[in-house]
Amino acid sequence: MKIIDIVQLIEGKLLTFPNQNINEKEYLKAFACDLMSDCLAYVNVDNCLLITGLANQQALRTAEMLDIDCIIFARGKKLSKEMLELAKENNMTLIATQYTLFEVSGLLYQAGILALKI
Amino acid sequence: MNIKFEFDIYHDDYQRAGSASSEIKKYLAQIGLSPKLIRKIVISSYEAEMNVVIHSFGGKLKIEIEDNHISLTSVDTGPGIENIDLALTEGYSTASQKVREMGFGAGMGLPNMKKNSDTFEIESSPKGSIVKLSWVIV
Repeated sequence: MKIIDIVQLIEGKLLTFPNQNINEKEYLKAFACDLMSDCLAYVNVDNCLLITGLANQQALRTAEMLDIDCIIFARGKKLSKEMLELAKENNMTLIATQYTLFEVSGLLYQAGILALKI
Repeated sequence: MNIKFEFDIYHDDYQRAGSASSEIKKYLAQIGLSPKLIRKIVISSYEAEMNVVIHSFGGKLKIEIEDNHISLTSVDTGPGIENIDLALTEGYSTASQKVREMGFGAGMGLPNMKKNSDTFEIESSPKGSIVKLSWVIV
């Protein structure tokens, strides 16, 4: 699934995105979690989205270590200026949505995004 | 090749936490290691870095890169791990509520470092802890 379709589906707002090729990448899987320790323990695939309600720098750092370049922030979380700067530095796409983690996950799952096998 | 980097890690500094591992990641990508190996190394280094930030009085993260071997060491100044066996058990954590609210403290750190490295050693006393990890570059 491409970023543009994800944003549309979850009525999201694109907060940061790399300048080029934003719609070239196809995301296949997603992991929804507020616990970064678990993300670090279980995410081991490429082309994976992170869906979280944890709006702090650690969410971005965790994603960076896991080669996740797109994070969806659920529950209308507000992100700090520092977070947006850090995301831009690392060419990361951040999307914010009012939907809950459950709703975002359900919508994406219905649209064909798969779960990780852990 | 023999390259060494050393980073100071400060207790409770959540603003900078992860920046050492981020630099390590960028360097490892530059020298052309496989993404899979880089991921294993930086997951471990980030866990180690967070452990020093969360649990210690402060310390250092060191990485040494040789032609076919990488070693990563975290050294801190205490207060040490009371029971290493328990600390290595998945789900066991002494982290505070504040740390859990930051998304950490699930008791997965040390087990995850062990899982992602080729060798794993840990020593601890009230004066501090040393965690040594290594990977073979194939």
